[in-house]
Amino acid sequence: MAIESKETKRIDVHHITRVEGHGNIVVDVQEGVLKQCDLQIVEAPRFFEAMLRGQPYEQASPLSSRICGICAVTHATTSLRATEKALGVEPSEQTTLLRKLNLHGEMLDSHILHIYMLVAPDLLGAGSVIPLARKSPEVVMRALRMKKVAGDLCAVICGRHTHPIAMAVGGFNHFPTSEELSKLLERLEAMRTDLDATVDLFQNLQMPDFERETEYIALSKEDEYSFLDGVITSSDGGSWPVEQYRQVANEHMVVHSTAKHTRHQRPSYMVGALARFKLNYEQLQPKARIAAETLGLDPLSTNPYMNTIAQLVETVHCTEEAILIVTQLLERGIKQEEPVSPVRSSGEGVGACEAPRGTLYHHYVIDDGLITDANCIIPTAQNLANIEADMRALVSQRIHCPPDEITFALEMLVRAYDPCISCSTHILNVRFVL
Amino acid sequence: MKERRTPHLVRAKPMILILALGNPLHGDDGIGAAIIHALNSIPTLPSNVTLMDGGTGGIKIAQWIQDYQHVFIVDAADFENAPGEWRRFSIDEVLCLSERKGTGLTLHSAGLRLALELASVLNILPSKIVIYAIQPKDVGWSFGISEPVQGAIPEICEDILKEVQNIHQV
Repeated sequence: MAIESKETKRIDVHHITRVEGHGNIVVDVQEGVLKQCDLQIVEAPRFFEAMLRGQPYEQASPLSSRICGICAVTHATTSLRATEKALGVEPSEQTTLLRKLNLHGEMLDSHILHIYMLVAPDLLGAGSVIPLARKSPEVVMRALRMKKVAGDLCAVICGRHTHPIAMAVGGFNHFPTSEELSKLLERLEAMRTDLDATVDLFQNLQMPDFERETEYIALSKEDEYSFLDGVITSSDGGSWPVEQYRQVANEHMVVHSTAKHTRHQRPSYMVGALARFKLNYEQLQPKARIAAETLGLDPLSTNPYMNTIAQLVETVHCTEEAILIVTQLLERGIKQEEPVSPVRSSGEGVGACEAPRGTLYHHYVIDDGLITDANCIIPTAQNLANIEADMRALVSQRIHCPPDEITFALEMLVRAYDPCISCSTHILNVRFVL
Repeated sequence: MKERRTPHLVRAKPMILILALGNPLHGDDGIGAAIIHALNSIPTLPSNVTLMDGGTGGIKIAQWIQDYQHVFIVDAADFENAPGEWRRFSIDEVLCLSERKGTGLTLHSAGLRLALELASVLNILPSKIVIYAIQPKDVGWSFGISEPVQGAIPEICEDILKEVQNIHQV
């Protein structure tokens, strides 16, 4: 049914599923003019920072890891970096390698979850992962196989499949054995077959046609595709040390959301796999660049739906990087290092890592070993304003399409960002007012 | 807490998994982790029992349980009873019950029902799954477990251990 320009209709569509958290999409078109297009975040604020205040600095990372079951490693690692910077701790080369490897494991697990279980059902006409598993069990089993390798990687490195326990300020308190690393290496190398099949599958699937240029922000380093540390870099030009994250994020309140929005050089910016791919393309592993070419993704892309394809490219990259890091660790031999001790008991520090959904910041003030102030800016909060800007552009372009078509395109758009609404303040209610 | 951990990569034949779900930052939702902590201190626990604090792992549950023949899942759940009351649910009961409050059972770890349904459709379910549901008092943002819920820990540990011993006797 097409929207007729002079007609006013009210359509309620409930439950955009397959996103983490609760929110609503409200679209209001009156007499053919778009009046309102909001992504309303209705979850209660989580006040996580308040829970950190008063805690000993050693507790910040394990508590942070409980913020999210999907990004637990990234929260824990970012927390450690904030604490280490505050207390003057310089981790060893081995610690940095192990942390990077761990982040690659979590990136793989999260991306495969999103690509196969949240997005693929849309593209394969399956409704959700359960009908997809009935229709094409081999596809979902492939996803589970790869997720298992990624999850086991995290268990080997950080002591648990989720919510790490082996990571500490200044290092690790548990180390993988050579045998564990060798078996992990074999499994990562064997995973290439499933990755090739994934690229083949998505090569033949069509993403919606939609372009909107925006500002893209990610951590960057000259010598690697950065997930751990780096400088904040913008596609509009400029780079900033992570300590200046507030000037980049410019958090502000909006009336319709319990999560803050952010803006930088434009009214909104995008973080996540597409932003990283665009800004750090040169640092991608060669196999990942080949996968990008096969999948039709180039660094000039401004189609937010291609964020899922960028995640797939990163999945190839992370597998190759993980293979290199494990090989390097095996060659060096694992040393049973004691964690590096803090040089002071008070200070202030900012940690930044790339979580699967984008740049994550933790900022702590520590006084005599206790956290007295904390601030966390999570990726989905940074993407909310940009999702809304995309939604407005998309609805304006498709204003004469049938409401069901617009709703489906909007649901897919929100899902493309892989939002974790639970973190930023699972189910999205779409209210369509026409 | 350092868990009794037998990673997949080094374990010969894992059989029994005791899997805790929930978030200790949500008060009584940390009951699963507390039970794992209590079981971890029992020296006589057989070596083929893996204890796992799965936290808010969601769909990851499907990939965790597929290597085991027997799985015991411990989670806070609202089944409209007094705080600290607990009961065992079969997988069929969990799959049949809606997660929406008012229909009998609300699992606090979102994703358990979906993970079990996915594993069922893919035919990778362990041969036996028992879900221990404990009625919480408070699952708001807070540390620590309420007194009535704390009181259920010894009973549940004892019941799980009996189940484990029964498996060994078969």
